Amino acid sequence: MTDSISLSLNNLTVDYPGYKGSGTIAVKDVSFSIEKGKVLGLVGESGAGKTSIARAITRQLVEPGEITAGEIIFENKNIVSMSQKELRKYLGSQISLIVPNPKSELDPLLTIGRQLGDVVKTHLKLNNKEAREAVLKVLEAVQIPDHNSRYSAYPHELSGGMAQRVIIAMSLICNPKFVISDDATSGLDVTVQREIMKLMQNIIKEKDLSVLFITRDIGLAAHFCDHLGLLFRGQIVEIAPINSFFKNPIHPYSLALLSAFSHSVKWRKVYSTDPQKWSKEFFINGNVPDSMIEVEKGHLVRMIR
Amino acid sequence: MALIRYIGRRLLFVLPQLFGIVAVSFFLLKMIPGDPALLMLGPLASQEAINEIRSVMGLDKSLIEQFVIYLERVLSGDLGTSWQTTKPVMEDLLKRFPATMELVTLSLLFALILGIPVGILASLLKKSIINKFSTYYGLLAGSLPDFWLGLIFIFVFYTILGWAAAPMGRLDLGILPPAVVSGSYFIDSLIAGDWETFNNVVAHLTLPVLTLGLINAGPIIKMTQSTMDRLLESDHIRYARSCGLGEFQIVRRAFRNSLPSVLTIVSVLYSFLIGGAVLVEIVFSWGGAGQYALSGVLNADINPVMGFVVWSAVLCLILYLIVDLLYFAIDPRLRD
Amino acid sequence: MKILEVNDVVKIFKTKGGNVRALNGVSLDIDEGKTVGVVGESGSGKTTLGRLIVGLINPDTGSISFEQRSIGSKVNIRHPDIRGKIQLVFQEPSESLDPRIKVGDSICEPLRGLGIEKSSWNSKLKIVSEKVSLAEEQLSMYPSQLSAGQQQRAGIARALITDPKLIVLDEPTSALDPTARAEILSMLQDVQKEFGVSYIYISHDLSTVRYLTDETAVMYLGEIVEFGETSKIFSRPSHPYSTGLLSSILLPDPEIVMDESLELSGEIPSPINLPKGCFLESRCPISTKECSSHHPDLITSDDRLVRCFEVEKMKDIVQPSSKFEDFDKSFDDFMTKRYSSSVQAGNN
Repeated sequence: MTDSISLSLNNLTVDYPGYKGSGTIAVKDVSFSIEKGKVLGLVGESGAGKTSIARAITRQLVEPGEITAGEIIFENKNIVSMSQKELRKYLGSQISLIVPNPKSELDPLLTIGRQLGDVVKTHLKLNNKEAREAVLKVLEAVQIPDHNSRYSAYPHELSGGMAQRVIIAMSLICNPKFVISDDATSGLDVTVQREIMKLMQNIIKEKDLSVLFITRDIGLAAHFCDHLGLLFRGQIVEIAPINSFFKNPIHPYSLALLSAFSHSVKWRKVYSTDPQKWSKEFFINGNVPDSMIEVEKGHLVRMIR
Repeated sequence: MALIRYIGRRLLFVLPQLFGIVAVSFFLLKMIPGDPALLMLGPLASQEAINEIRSVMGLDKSLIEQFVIYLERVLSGDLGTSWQTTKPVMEDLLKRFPATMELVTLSLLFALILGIPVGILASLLKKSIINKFSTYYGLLAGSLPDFWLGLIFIFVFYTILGWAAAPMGRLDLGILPPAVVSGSYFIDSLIAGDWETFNNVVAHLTLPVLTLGLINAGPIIKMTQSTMDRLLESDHIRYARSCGLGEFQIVRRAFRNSLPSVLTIVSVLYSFLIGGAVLVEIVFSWGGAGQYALSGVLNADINPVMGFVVWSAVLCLILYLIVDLLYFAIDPRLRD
Repeated sequence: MKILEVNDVVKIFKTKGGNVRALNGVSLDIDEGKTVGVVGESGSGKTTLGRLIVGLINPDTGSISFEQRSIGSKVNIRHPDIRGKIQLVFQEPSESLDPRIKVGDSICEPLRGLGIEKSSWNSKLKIVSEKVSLAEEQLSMYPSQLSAGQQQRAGIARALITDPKLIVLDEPTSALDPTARAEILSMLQDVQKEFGVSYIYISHDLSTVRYLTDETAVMYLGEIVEFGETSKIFSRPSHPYSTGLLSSILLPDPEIVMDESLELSGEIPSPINLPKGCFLESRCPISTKECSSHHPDLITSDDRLVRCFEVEKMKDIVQPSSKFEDFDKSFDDFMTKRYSSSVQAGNN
């Protein structure tokens, strides 16, 4: 069974001790696993812990954040207990990250070609000429027009959509097995977003990538993922195969989120994001329950019966 | 091509800028009380003698006329004569400015060599001794007057230990200056290949350079550290980390991005030190330009002061042009 | 009655790189108590249009009249007769409130400019804060103590306090989470019902435009390419650009797939060197020779205005679609079933 799993989180907890007075637990006891070649969507609103999970997997948590419990298993190795040196071999080569706001994520002083080249040179030990070829190839793969001249362009000379393609190129250049997309298209216009998503979909299929797709847009997740997990205040409240989730969403938070997209005033008044208003199987003694119940195969809901 | 046009446009503004600086400092200086004629001839001089000197110096004319006359002379390369040294100011400054520039440049080089690595390390190793060191160093360098540090150095290394050369100028008395090429003894003695002179020059430079360098390393450390702190937390560096780039590459990228800030502080320190090194110059009897201007101020000898102003204005304008060009070289976003 | 008429406004920004043609002749009317949506992607000129209407910038040519009265260079938003009648709600709620002023005081700020006596401020504050559902204790907090949604409520309260006739909403929900966004939108609807205020709703988020607006203007590169009743545009867009935009909306139901009959490629061209022909020509899958040589006018086609030579062909390509209604209906059915069963379960 473990052979078919690309990455799994087991009871991951991320804490920001001393942040704003008492410690804030950003991610609490989160578990999921992503099968090879599959896309898991992780949907949540701001403050739900989406980015903390992405940064925990790459071990890039912002100070004073730290992983206080749990493990992250990638290909039978625990990322949490890796040394920085060992971790560095995985990051960018086997596990790569696609980030939003591509323009601030690229070094403003270096050309695109140089930044992509640095990554291949580091991981694949290529010489300058081989690196250049690899860069041009990947720029072509992400459909950057006129890629020969874009090679020597600086980030500020690119449009948002182009810069996002460069970030995707960066994540693909070493042929990774696992890709994390952290709100990757949030800053883009809808028509550009659509093109980028199409590109990503094709590449995922072609390269048989496993993907953790983090977004706050459940509509995007619905069309892009094989599984869907809903994050609420650092915990997964519902996780299911995509069809099972949309046929039978159960958790009140899931329903509230869907109501927000349907703009149905009626249902939004019934299902709220305020846990105080949830019925008692979902929220007891001021907390969500610790346990999840399997309502269908692979469809888990945080509730008590 | 765009670069040449930019330089051209900048140079176009140099003349009006210079005119403004000269005008402001000329009229401000004239407002200082004290009659040069009286100071030259002493309190016992007769009124006639004073009047004669005044008319020779053009002091009996109106301020505007004096200014116009001064401007005409400056444009023909004549900065007037100092009545203290009785030599043309231009000649004096040609000797003294290289002395100051040599001191300031070497001091700042030393400050950079010390400040940048310490700043980077302090930023990288948050919990280390070097981080604490940098914090205290910044405080100390900011609170110590440079001339005081110079005096302490002289006391310790010259008076007590006897390691350093005498704080009496740029060369020992018995040694002849090298043939003038740049005016800097350091460079000229190297060009001449005269090792004896060179060693003596270095011996005399050591203490003043240490003094100014150690004091000015403070702001450079602070600036390097704080920009590196900011950059190491920045999105693109974090992203580079999550691409698995090695620590050396990360630091190199972060430092490259912090260069503009470091450059800014260096250019500020440089232009400040051209005149601001004067106390250290006095302590070491350096015979620099600041010292020359100061004695002019104290003795109502206006030409050396004005000459100093013109020279430092030109030097600063050149300096800022170079700094701007360096910004362009570092940051492609500025090139458009 | 028309409350605002925008007539053929042109706005060109002079920059180092050349003249940015932000608006190339835009006309737009708004009826009292109605909402017009202005949609388009970045660079379409929608924000410039909003700023022109509130008088933050002046048009180069063209005119804007508010309540039959021409406004613009001399009589603008600051004119005593108009002051407070047109209001603006900004995109970033956290940045549009002074971080050092208490929320309640920020909301009252516009009253100062209107010369309204301080004694009546509190009662006005009470009315508007109730309208936007801000609790009394939140009014004495600083903006940083509120969530983004609450900050935006304060921004809306500040616009409402002068009793405006028209509010320009410049992407008021784009910085918010989906649930906060939905709450703000239904609040805006309630406010409109009660006060009869008109809205210009500027957004790139089409699903919210569908929810809030009566009429929609689709903008591309500084001009309106399609204008009509919102429901009609959404069920059958006539312009290739509107079609591309609409088919990019992803509804949260994996079974509702988007119409892919017409797909735009590439990105919006630079507004400095506008093409000679149709501005969309380079991205449009059905463009012809005429499109690259001539610029289409905004013409009436059935129930709307469209700027496209191939408007007849579009009728064949784009079939009427009810996917939005379908989604709403299936969601409503599902929820009704779920709710009744959960109510029963609760009774047991």
